[in-house]
Amino acid sequence: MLQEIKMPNAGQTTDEATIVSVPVQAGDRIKRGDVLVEAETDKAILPVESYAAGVILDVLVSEGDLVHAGDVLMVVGKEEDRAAYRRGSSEVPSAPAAPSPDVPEAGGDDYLPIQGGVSAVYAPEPAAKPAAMPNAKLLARELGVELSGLTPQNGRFLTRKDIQAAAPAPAAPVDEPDAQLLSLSRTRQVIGRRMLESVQTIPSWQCVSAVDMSACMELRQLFLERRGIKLSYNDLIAKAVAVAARKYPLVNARYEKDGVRMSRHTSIGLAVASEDALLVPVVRDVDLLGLEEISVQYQALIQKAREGRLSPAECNCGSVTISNLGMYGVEQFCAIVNPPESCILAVGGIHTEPVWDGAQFQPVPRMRITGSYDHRLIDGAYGAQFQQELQLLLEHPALLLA
Amino acid sequence: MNSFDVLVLGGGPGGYSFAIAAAKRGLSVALFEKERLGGTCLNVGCIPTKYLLDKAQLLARIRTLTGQAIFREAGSFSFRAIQRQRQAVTGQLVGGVTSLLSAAGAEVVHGEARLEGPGAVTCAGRSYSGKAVVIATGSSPVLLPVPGAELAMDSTQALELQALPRSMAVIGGGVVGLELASAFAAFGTRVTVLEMLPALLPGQQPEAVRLVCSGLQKRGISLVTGAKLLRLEACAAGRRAVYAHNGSPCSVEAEAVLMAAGRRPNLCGIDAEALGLTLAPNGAIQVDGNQETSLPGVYAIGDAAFGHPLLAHAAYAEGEAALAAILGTPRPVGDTPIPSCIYTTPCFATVGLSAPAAQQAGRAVVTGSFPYAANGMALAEGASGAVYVVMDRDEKTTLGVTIVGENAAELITIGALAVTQHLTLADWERLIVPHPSLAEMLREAALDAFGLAVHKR
Repeated sequence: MLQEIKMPNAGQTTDEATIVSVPVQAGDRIKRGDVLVEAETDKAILPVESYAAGVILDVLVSEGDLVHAGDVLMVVGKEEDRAAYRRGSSEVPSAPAAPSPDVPEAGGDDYLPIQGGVSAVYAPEPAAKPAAMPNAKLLARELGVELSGLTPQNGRFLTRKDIQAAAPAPAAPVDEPDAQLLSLSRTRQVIGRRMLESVQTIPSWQCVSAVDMSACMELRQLFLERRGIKLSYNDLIAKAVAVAARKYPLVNARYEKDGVRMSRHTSIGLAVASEDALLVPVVRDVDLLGLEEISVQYQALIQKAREGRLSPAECNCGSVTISNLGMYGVEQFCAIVNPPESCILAVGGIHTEPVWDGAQFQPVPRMRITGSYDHRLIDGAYGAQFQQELQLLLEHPALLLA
Repeated sequence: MNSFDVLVLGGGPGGYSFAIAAAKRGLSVALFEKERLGGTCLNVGCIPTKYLLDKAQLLARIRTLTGQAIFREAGSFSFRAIQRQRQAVTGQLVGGVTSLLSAAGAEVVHGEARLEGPGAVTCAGRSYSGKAVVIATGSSPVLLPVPGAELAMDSTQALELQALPRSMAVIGGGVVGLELASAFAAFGTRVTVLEMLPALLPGQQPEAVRLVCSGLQKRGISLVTGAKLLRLEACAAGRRAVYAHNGSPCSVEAEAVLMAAGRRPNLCGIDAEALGLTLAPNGAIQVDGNQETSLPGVYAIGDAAFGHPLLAHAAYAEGEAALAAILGTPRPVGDTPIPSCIYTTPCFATVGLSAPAAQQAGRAVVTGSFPYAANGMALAEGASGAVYVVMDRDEKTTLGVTIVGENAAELITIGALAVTQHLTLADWERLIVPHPSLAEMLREAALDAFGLAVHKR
């Protein structure tokens, strides 16, 4: 029996994905759980595992292909199905041809096709070329049009008209270009779409709080000395946000057409820069977790994000996002609300500043948090009070125990 | 005690050629080699690389001919079989060197030698004395001291690969990096070259460099200049090279990483400090025009000696200079132009000065050029490229020649002759070259410097 391996549903925003690698080829023996292809969705690179065991009879995708959920990626069957398998027929003919005599292996050498080299081994066979008029072939060669993908308009053979229709627009002269056009990766397209959606649909406003971080720094030192755990400031901020959100739950909410949807728990996303993308892995239900657990979960997610291996579930939308640019020496900045969330906190670095204590200036390590809020449900006073609570918790982290 | 006229440390191109030449002049010679005769060049350098590049060029040619429908199909090739044959070829050359040495009467001592002082060498517990000592210990690849450097292979390991990686990042856009990049790209590996300098081949004829770069890119190699390697990491694809590009971190993932970021002189068995041997800042041995070091009677040649570029033919020339000095008839290499070649596709070869270098030296220059596309032989062979000849505007003498394209490394010898002999415009005009031949382009380019080329507007 032949089994078709189909593209699984990859995430919530889209069911489109681009194939980024095909580590197997026709003829490979596979077992359940082997990775057949890796597909890049808007959020992550998703390994597609086989749910069948046997021999790969056909590979229908190659690197760079755009696939949708449900598309057939590969056909898997038994060794004896191999000779009889033809692409397009879903069943092996009932009377399989007599087993073909074994082809002697050429001294154990792996022969690679000269045309295309190593990568060609992993590409599907080229489709048959349709018949074409000689002048159409000539034109195709001049214009660099590949005949194989074209369908004749007259149903019988390709004409010059078919070729002209398929010709790519003439490229601009390439003499020492001033600029280079880079193709948009899936991730880049998604970031672009969502950021535009944010500024076009969310009326956001910002406010800034300066937080005295001395107590947090002491707490961090304590964890390092007594527990051997290196907490990040983001872990502490996440915890404080979750606690503050108990009092100000609207920061967890999202504005929807029919009403305001309140989440029961606080899930906090952390903006992570990776090679060419911005990813926001989310730790769920932070309000139920202790600091150590928060720290461990973020570290694991950040690592995965940098390697592009986040699963769609791990970057599903949270309720609040933290974006920290402190490590780049930033003092404060405004972030764009990450839809459909209604609150994002932009965190700057910790800088020692003179602060008047009533008698003299004291050096105080201060960190600025700039909240951006969706004004449709969070008004100025509410946002300010939330930040006041957040500041209180970070300046007196013992209160986090409450 | 074993006494000889000359003791030679190292059996690479510099050492073995010196030993043979010296023995033929009637000197008694002992040559010490700890690994294989032939050194880097024969065993893990030029020759094996050229073997791979030759097969790579053939594959490229088959692809072209298949594209022109001259071949119906391109067929298939085995990288493992190429590697097997390559070993046979280097084995044959090493055998040839061994028999030349014994025929000339030079004694070969296998083992790690130690220089004890002027005229004194120990090897495997025995002492040897010589009236002169020639250090020809060569050089080894440098691994950049970045985190994860152990994830990279050096050129020696790259040449030994038995299976083609699907992708490769090459750190370093010098001769070694570009040649291996070119070979692996032709075999079908996706290659990215990361070069730290803002441009490839600095100081060379700029038009020629552009031609090489576009030729390499056309063959699917990504060239990234101004890329400073920060670290190497393991990742799902194999390796990830993280580099700073214009100050911002970037990375490239590949199945294999080749580190080709230069070479360092080998001074194994030579304690320079204890011996009082003067070294140049890069760690190579300081020599005078006759290749003699700060220790009287001790000479250094090849990659271990400071001065000329790290090239086998430079080592040959330095060996000849050292021999002439030992025989009492000094003939220093001096400023004899040394050609240098990069056997990439397209091949790059140059000798003498480029136009910018000549201008910097205060010369008024004119540059003539001639494209392969206008040469009958090149068209027949399907060859492409260009020849550049830099001439002194006033004296009308030849200052430099650069060639990009098929057979550049063979043609450059004509250029070397022209530069060494200061060929004038009149000399070039008197020269008769066969037609059709690629060599016509050199004459045409030289005449073009003064607007006299026939097959050019």
